[in-house]
Amino acid sequence: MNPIFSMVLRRLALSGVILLLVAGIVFIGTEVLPGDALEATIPQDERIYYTDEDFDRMRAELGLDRPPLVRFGEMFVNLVTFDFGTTILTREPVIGYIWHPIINSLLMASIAVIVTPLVAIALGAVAALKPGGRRDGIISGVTLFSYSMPDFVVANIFIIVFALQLGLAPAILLIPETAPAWQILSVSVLPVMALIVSGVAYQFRLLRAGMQETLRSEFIERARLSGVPEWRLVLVHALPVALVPMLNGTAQFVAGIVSGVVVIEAVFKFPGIGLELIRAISQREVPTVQAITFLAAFAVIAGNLLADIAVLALDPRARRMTHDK
Amino acid sequence: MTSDTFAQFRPPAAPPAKARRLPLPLRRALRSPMTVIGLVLVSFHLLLALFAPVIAPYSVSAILTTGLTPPSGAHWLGTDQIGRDYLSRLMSGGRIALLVSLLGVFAAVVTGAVLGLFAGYRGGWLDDLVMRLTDAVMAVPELLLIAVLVLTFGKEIWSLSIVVAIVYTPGVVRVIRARTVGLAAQDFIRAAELRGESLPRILFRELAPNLTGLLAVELAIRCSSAVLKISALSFLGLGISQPTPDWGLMVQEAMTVIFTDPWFLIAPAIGLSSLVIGINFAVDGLARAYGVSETDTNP
Repeated sequence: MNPIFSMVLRRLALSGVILLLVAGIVFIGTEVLPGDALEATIPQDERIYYTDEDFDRMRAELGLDRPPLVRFGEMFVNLVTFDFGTTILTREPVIGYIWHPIINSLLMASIAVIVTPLVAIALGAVAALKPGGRRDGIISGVTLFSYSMPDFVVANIFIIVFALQLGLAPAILLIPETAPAWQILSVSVLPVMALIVSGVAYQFRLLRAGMQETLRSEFIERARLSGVPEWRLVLVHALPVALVPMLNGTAQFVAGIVSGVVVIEAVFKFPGIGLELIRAISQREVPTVQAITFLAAFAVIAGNLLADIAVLALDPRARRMTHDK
Repeated sequence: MTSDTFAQFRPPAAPPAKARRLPLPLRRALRSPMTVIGLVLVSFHLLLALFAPVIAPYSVSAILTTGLTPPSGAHWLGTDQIGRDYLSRLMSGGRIALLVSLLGVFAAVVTGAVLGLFAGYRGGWLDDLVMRLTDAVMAVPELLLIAVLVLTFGKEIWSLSIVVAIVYTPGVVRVIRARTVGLAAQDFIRAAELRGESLPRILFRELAPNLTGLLAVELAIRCSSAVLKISALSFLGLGISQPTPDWGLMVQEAMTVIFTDPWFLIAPAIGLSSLVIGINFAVDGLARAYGVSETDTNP
């Protein structure tokens, strides 16, 4: 069999295993609460309205009286088939709660996922043309600075500067969940800007480290000795290989975007999955929390799988490695 | 005369105490102005966190005015919506986040180092199991994992620290394991094995001393990340809650008065940012001094 094909197949199988473990973590994190999902959903002061028989009956209806392993099996099968069940108290399908928010958040996040590496690579190339030079120093300093800024602070600074001082964008988005895509995208400019700040810094720093390593390697020295001009050396010979550490950081990057989406949506009141997650957590609505957490991990694993394949395409040395990195 | 008889048996007088010098990597790091700025900021924040209740002009919970007031002679940063002195609350705003992050990350680094050393040195199915578990935990975005675990464990200082420890251990495991795999192939480990050294001795006496720099960098990097995440959690209203002063929470509350009194948002934002910037600037110098690159901490 084609070695690359079998490597991809292997990664795919590994991703499946990881997804199973993630389901386990989500299960442990949410089901084995002190008490159970039902007790968690009903606030302390409302419990006096329920008798023990009520609780037992509701538990039986929800299937919470079955042993944990059975419930885990069922939850796992449901999650991987994207069947998220119903909420505990109102018994409405979870998918109805999360469908539109997910679409909205995906619209915003996909712009960020496309723009971030482009900006990072542009900055990385500029910095790498003269390593240790003034431009390199300034870009590295600024990215370290912006990497350290909390994203909710960055978002609020953008609101103060762009919305309050310059009046270019609305500070808070008053837009319904079911708004059409173009409307969602048109209000996403400021949120996306706030969202990419730390991701650009993270990817730039990995790219810079990869560039420093690559420029020291023998194949670059060989190209330099054979008279390849410096800019061509950096952009054509070194850059593809220098992308590898950045691509290896994809899981972290996607996870960062998801965390960022939750925070940024809370700042701008953007009608997306982050706001929905915050609502679900504060109302302790376990099935919705499980669904969103699982989908977030799914996005991270899928992103990582794509990045792994991209590494195989970019770095010939990775294709020759047979064992796991 | 008897005392002289035994003089030759006495240990020689201790040599005059030499001024203790810092290890070379640290001295090298201190030459960079950015590192110095970072260390100054971190020390400032640590001192502030320790002594805030002593040096703050008012108690953090005392209600002194009716509602929000602008800065004045009595209240340098004014008072918040409830009428509590804002400067005093600002000074205490990083204490819980910092304490929880330090406790949790310290536990994570210790656990992660032991697991990473073990997995990296022994290899085999144990290594595979540990690595897949870390993959799984790390696939859940940190902030979401923290939020979900806080739902289970609660919001007390101890439970928050445990949550931070759980969330950050896998990352440390990966970093230490990657370095250990490289070290384990070297001659000095082969030599130790041939001498018949025990497993704990090889792990902690032979391998671990080579990881000091990396561990210090890990501790600091994860700390800055944990402070950010715990503050974000409070900002979302899912973490530290009233009446405890916390920068994340203060930023959230100030968003309602952002049009009229943006200063109420900017003050805690500066507090939080300067802490994280301080840690990251210090780490950057520390990492360069110990030769730890960005690719080491992102294996």
